[in-house]
Amino acid sequence: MNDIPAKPLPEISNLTKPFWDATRSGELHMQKCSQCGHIRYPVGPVCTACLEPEHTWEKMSGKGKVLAHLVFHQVYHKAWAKEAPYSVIMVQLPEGPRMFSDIEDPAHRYKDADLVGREVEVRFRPMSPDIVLPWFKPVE
Amino acid sequence: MSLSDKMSIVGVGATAQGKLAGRTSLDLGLEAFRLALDDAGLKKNDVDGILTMPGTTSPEGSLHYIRFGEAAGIDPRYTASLTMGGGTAGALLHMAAMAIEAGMATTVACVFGDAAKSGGSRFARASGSDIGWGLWGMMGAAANSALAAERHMHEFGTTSRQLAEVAVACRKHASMNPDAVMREPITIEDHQASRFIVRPLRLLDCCLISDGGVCFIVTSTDRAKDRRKKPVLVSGMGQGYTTRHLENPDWWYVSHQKAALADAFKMAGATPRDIDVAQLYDNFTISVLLWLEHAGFCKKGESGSFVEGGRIQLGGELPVNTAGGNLSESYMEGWLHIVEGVRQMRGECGERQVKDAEQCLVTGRGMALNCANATILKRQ
Ligand SMILES: [Zn+2]
Repeated sequence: MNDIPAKPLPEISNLTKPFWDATRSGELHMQKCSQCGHIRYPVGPVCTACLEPEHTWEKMSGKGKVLAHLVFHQVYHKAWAKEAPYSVIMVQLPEGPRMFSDIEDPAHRYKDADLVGREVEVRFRPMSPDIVLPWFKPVE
Repeated sequence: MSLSDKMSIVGVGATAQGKLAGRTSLDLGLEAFRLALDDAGLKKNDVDGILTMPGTTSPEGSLHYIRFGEAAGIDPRYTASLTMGGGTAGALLHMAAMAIEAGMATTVACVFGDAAKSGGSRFARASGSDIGWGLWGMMGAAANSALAAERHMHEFGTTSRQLAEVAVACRKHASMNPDAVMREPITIEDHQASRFIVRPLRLLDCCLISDGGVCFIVTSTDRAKDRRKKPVLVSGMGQGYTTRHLENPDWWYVSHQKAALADAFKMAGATPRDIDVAQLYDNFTISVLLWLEHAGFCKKGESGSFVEGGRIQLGGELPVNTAGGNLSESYMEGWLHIVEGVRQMRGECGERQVKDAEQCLVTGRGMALNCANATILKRQ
């Protein structure tokens, strides 16, 4: 009996392709505005500070700090049925952006922990030949 | 030129709430419309404006206004549908007031119906966009409010037991409301024993999912004089939004609510001290805490202790969600908050009536914490 569906995967667009190309090579990249230097996330067609479309993709250090640690007990999508309760975190990157991600935790070590304030480091989890998802590991 | 007191709500209607097998968002909205017309002593052809919110189970989506108008047999002078989740009811009330003031309509019905309980709601969809948060399992209606609660707990030491105070107050009030869905009183211990949905939020921190329909009718205060029941004045209105999420460092704290509340108080010429009763949008318990801080009933970070000791219960300093709210009356995405505000200002609430109440604050908030509004209703 295995009726657990696959997790949803994003469609790769012209806009997001560099992000996913980078994660496939084990790096976290974000857009940096060529006009004002603002690093934006989520991925967007123009700078959210100055509307400038020109940008470069910059490599992030991969470090971060946990701002919020949520533990999903409710299964909203059956693909998560086996791993619930699972941890979702909001991470503050030192470069400025914040992002949602998760913590791989097959042994449920963090189910009752509260990781707010903890330093974390990016890791990469292959989901399909095209999609490699960044996640974060608490620094011991 | 201020709109304060120039518009009134002259009719409210709410269908039965809960699990209503076989009903649709459309027929529930139509029933609520008939009830509101009757409450106002109006005929359908007196209504020349229709504003609707498509339910989560309305197949028409943003074309709901056409389907509703067709089903009611009305060709309005002014109509639209708006989708702002729990912010929609208040935003439509404000739209109605502005349209009437501008001469675009004289009498506007605002309508909502949904069969979310029995019709299969879409509340559990993944949130975010593009590189969506759902990729990491950040999904479902509780996620964003869990984030708000988590941050509030870390920044201000707010506790789960303090969130429970909100759930207990709403349930107590619902127990006095014969139309409420969940009427069995609960305790803080019941709340603490309920399972986690998205930690730190527990089951009893969460609103219900309900079938039902709600309608209210707005007209100018001048025209309102001849209506069946005493009109309730729309004394203050304000809105505030954030379209940003991760890029807004204050997103979880929904600071844009402050602008909505400040504008409403300013238009009404009122302060928090003038408010006798409040209907604060409560998709989750944490939302009530944030409203209390942003409205200025307490200081930033102090809402947890503010709600302790029954202060927001009937008989307390500031009764909140006197019909039971989204948490215990029914989840009509804030539409019933306006209805209860009107009924409190009319003095119709029986056992749960706040004695001599003259001003009621009603708030709404929707989407991924994006849309907020505040309305001050006043007894005439
Ligand atoms: Zn820029």
